[in-house]
Order: sequence, then C-alpha cells, then structure tokens
Amino acid sequence: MKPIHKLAAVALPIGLAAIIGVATQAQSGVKGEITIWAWGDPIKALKTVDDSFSKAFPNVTLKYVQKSPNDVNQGLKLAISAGSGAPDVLLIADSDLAQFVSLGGLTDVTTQTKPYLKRMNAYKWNAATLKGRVYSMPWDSGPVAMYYRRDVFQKAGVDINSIKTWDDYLKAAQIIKSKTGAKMLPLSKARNDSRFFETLLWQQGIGYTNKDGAVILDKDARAKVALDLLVKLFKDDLTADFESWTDPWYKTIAEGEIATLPMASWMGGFLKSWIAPKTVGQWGIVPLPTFSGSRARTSNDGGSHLAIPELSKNKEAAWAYIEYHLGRNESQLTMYKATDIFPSLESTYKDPMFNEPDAFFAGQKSRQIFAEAIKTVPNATVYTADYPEINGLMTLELQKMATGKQSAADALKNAANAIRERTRRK
Amino acid sequence: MLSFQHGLNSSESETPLRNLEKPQPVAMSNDSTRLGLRQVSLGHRLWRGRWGLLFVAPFFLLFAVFSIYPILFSIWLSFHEWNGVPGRELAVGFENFRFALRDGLFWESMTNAALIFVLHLPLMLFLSLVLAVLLNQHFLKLQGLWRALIFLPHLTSMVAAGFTFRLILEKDSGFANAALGVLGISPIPWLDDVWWARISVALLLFWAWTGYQMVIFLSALQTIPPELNEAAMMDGANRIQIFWHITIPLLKPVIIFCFTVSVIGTFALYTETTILTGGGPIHATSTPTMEIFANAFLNLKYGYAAALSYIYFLIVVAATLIQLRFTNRGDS
Repeated sequence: MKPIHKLAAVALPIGLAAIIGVATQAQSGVKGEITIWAWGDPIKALKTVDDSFSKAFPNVTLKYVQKSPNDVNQGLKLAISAGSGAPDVLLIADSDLAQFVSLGGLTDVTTQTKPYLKRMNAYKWNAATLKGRVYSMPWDSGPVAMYYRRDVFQKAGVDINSIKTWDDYLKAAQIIKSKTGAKMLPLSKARNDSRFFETLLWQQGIGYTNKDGAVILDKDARAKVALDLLVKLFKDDLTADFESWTDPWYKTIAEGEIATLPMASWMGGFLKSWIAPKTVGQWGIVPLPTFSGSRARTSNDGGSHLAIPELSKNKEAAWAYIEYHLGRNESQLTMYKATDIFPSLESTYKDPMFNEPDAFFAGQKSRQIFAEAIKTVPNATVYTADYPEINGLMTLELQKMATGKQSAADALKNAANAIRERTRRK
Repeated sequence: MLSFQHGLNSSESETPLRNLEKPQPVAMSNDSTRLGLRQVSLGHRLWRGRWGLLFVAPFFLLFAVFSIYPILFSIWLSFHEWNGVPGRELAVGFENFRFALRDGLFWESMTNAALIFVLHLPLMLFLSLVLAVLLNQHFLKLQGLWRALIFLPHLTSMVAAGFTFRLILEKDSGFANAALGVLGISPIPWLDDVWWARISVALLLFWAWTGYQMVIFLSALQTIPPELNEAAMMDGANRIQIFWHITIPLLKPVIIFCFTVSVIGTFALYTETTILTGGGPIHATSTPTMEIFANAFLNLKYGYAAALSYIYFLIVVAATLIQLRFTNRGDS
C-alpha cells in the first residue's frame, strides 16, 4: 500500500465521507453504526462488498471517511494520545502496522482471527503479532514479480526466459542498453527510498533485524549481496535515475524507456489504471530473478490490514465487518477483481478468476503468476515497530553510497550503527 | 551629535524614574492603606474594562490552551521518554539532552538551515532594497503594477509553489534545464545534488520573500523626508552615493528587522523543504523543524523531540540576541 501512501500525499485534496447504509428489520444481534477510515482505492474495493454485507447484517450502518494514508496514521496516533476520536475500523499499511501494535492502540483479535491463521499468507501475521497476541486481520499481500516491456526485449533480441538469476539480469541489462538505449529499471541514486533494497532483503528471507531484534545489516552476508546488486546496477549506468512516485518516474515507465520493473502485484493495477493505460499488450510478467543460493523467485513489498482501535465503541460490529470483507472468498475476489488488491486469503487462489488471460499483459495469466509467487514468499520481517525510523536511516546511507560517497560495506556498517544507536537494538 | 543623542536618551529614561521615586516616602509611612487602595483600584479597573476584557478573552484563552500549555508541557516532556500513549511516560532525567548533543542528524539540520540562510539572504536583502528604491522613484510609471507583481509570489501557497518548483527543477523533464539547454548549458542536478538542492531551496525562498521584504523597505523609504536627498544632491552627491550614505544608514533598523525575521524563518523552514526536497538528498536540506517533526510523529519519540525543540529554541533566541546586541552597539 506504500505507493498509494505517497500518491495521496501528493494529491492534495482530501475528500470526505460517503455514507452507505441500509437498515431493514433486525435479524442479528450485531447492530449500530461503524466508522471506517481508509484511503481511495481500498474504499472503492470495500464498497463493492457492502450490498451483500448489508443483507447479512441489516442493522449495521457503515460510514466511510476517506483520508490519505498519512492522515489515517496520524489520526490514529492522535486519537490514542487523546483517548478519543478513533474510528471503529481502520486500514493500516503493513509498514506502519507494527508501530501501532506496539503502542497498544489496537484491539486484541487473537480469538477472532484464530480460524484464519492457517488460511492467510503466513508471513502476514508477523507485523500483526506481539507476544503471541494478534491485533489485526490481513487484507492484501504484495508478492513481487518482474514486469517487463515486451517491445524493448524484442528490439534488443533478448529472451526474457533466459533471465533466471540477477547475474543474467545484469547481462541482459548491458545488451538492452547497448541495443535500445533503454535502462533496465528506474532506480534513483540521490533520492532512493530503499524499497528495492528491502525487496531484495525480503527475497533472501531477511529484514533489517533478526528474530531477537538485533540488527543484522552488517553481519548477514545476504544484506551485502542485496546492496552489491544495486552497486553493480549503478556502476554500469543501467538504471534510470528518477525518484519513485514522481512525474518523471511515471513518464519513463509509460514511454518504454525502462525494460523492467521488479515490483509487487499492486503495480499491475497502477500500470493499467493510471501510470501507463495506453501500453496495453506491451507488458509481460515473469518471476523475479534469484540470487545464487536462494530459491525464492519472489519477495514482498507493501500490503495492508484492517484493525479495530482499542477505543472503538462497537467492536462486535467492527469485527463482523472485517470478517465479512476479508475472511470470505467471495468478498476478497470481488475486491481483487475491482482494484487488483491481491488477497492474503489463500483459499481464493483456486478460483477460476486466477486463470483468466489479461489483455494488458498480452493475454498472459497474470494473476496466476502472483498466486504461484505468493507460495514462496519468504517468511521475513522487514516491517518492525521502528520501521519508519530504520528505513530513514538506511535510506540516508544508501543515498551516500549511490552518489559515490562511500562503499557498500560502509553503507551497511554506518546504517547498522545508526540504527543501533537510535533504536537501542543490539 | 552622538553625545547629544546619548544625553537626550538618558534624560528621557530618567524622568519617569524620578516621578516614580517621589511618592515612595509617602507610601512607606502608610503601607497597608496603599496596598488596599491598589487592590481596589485593580479590581475597579478590571470591572471598568470588563467588556473589553470579554472581547479579548477568546484570544487569550486559545493562546493559553494552544501555546502556553504546550510550551510548559514540553519542558516537562523533554525530561521524559514518551511514545504518545497516556500513562507510558518514563522519566529519564537529562538523557534526551545528552543524546541531542551528539545527535549528528540534528546538528546537521542546524548547519543546513545556516547554509540555506547564507545562500539566499544577502542577495535577497540587497535585491529587495534595490527594487524598493527603484519603485520609490517618481519617474517610474505603473508603480502599483510593478509592486503588486513583485509581491505576488509571497501570497502564493507554499505547498503549491513547492510543487511547481519541483516540476520546474526536475533534472530531465523540468523547464529550468530545458531553458538552460537552449543556452547551451548542460543540465544541472537541481534536486539530486547536496549543494544544488540547498540552492534550490534558497531559490524558492528568494522567490517567495523578496517581494515581502521589498514592501517593508518601500514603506520605510517613504518615511525618509525628501529634503535629505535634495540636500545631498545640492551638495553634489549622485544617486549611488545617496543610496549608500543616506538611504542605507536610515533604513538600518528595518534591515535589521528583516535580517532577524529571516534568521528565525530559515531555521523554522518546514513546508518549503518538505515539499521541494523532502529534506534530501542525503539529508542535505533537512531543517531542525523537520527533524523535530520526524522524531515526534514518525519515530514516536515525543520526549526527545521536546528536548530538541528546546535546544533549537535556545539557539535561535541566542542568535537573535547576539544580532540585536551587535547591531545596537553599532548604533551608539
């Protein structure tokens, strides 16, 4: 959900609530009005299920308040401090979730989520769990694959299926650059946000820290492997130097100036709907290249949960809402179809919908690729309670490295030490 | 002339003191009565001004709730560790201040603000002064229009201006580099280089505040009696000599005002840098206010952020006092 986060911060106007509600005769004990905080696309998705929800729970009225991800985040922090003003249900990006769990502002839903523990992607519970208690319900996952431009590869005469490892990727990048002038991927140097680096960590099954909370950036060789790939890409000038989620970045993607996008499932939806709607049929998807020694040809980036603030006055109805929208195949599939928000609910992957060809990807069964990928996403924890701070500190050292001010080893050492000093980790 | 001025000042300041001293012997002999009288008169005065007080009360109430309370609460908070959850405050003594002293990012942000200040202020002061003098000349036509045009940027929302500057300064698609390209100048990494990013912020400030300072200078210029300039011209001074030897000395208090306000404003930069550069690249345009915000609302270290804001406050106050002292000494 991170991209939407940035987008909404860029899009200034913040719309206000739309009220949907149908109240007929009482059929169940669950009743009352619940308020839901979320941002644009997810609200659109949730509303596609509301008609059927209202039939099942006629006495529950829903009130949506659309806020930017940043405002949802700050709004909940304020409500926790003030002791009032929280909604009944709110959408939280995975990268922000652990911070809220550690604050204690979310309702313990350990018992309610028990039936779903095995049915959701296992790694999704990491950020939602503290000391064995669960505080939110997974909605979507961000399995990563590699989007590529068919036209660029064709022009360069490179077979996409020849790219199995990141070394193959680097070789192909050289050929594509010399034959077509296109860069392999967009990746900023001085304005890098560390997301691609995190994707590469997660692919290898690690995060910034280990299970005991100790920083492993400068100790685990896999972190060095991840950063070295960035070094090689930068060194041979194989990247397009644009800051993510800015106009020039969209432009370079839409105009085929880059050959690949190693990004999560949600990116497909963005490409289709607003980043490059005119490039129908020019894109394809393949699994992510691997590092030698690691098996996963995927990773995770982003994702979100629905949670109930501790301050909610109608937790029963709030849970009924969450369970109905996220715990049922029909609901998750309806929402997936409407907005490309990839369900964390594993029982949905058997649906025929996943075998439908996608015209945007030249008839490729794009959903199938992500459904396959999600099975092998390593169970890593990148999004810790102090993730916002850790990401900021890593970003600083990564930018220094990318602009030639220090080596990869120094970047990892300096970032690790800064993180230790500021977060009191080992 | 200097001694005369000095004498005038001292006699002015001494007179009220003497007036105050006079009734004292009387009061000494009759202390209780005097106190009583005072209380009555204070209550009486309050009552007499009740309507006025009622009308100003909303401001003072809001000021108390939104300014005085947070200021006092922050002092208490700066000696605690707090993540924002009521009841989880942990007293840590001077630990926050100790950490702040060796917090490289915070001190870097102070340096950044100082650098951005140096990059834009001297040029801005000079240009706004020159513009003000030019627009104060009678021979210039359409004065109102020029003044309005130059002042206009100041009225623009900084958010909108920040986004626009960002689009203009983008290195591959921005207008700035396209224009430079026409002149045969190779593209400049406006937002991708540590120094150019600081210059970009300085440019935005320069664009937004030159008109404001010009208006202040203009109004000050209009208080200078034309006889002074005429007399100088009679003595054979040219316009440039008049500018340096008459206009600038007479505008000194206003220049000091603009300078001081700019120092405070540059250290408090937030909107401009957040939107134009996000504090980057490599932290090069992060300001103290951005650091305080990040520590409080992103990292949830409210106590530490409170300590930082006090350190920041003391430094800015000290800087302002030094400036005032320095410039006052220049006067006498």
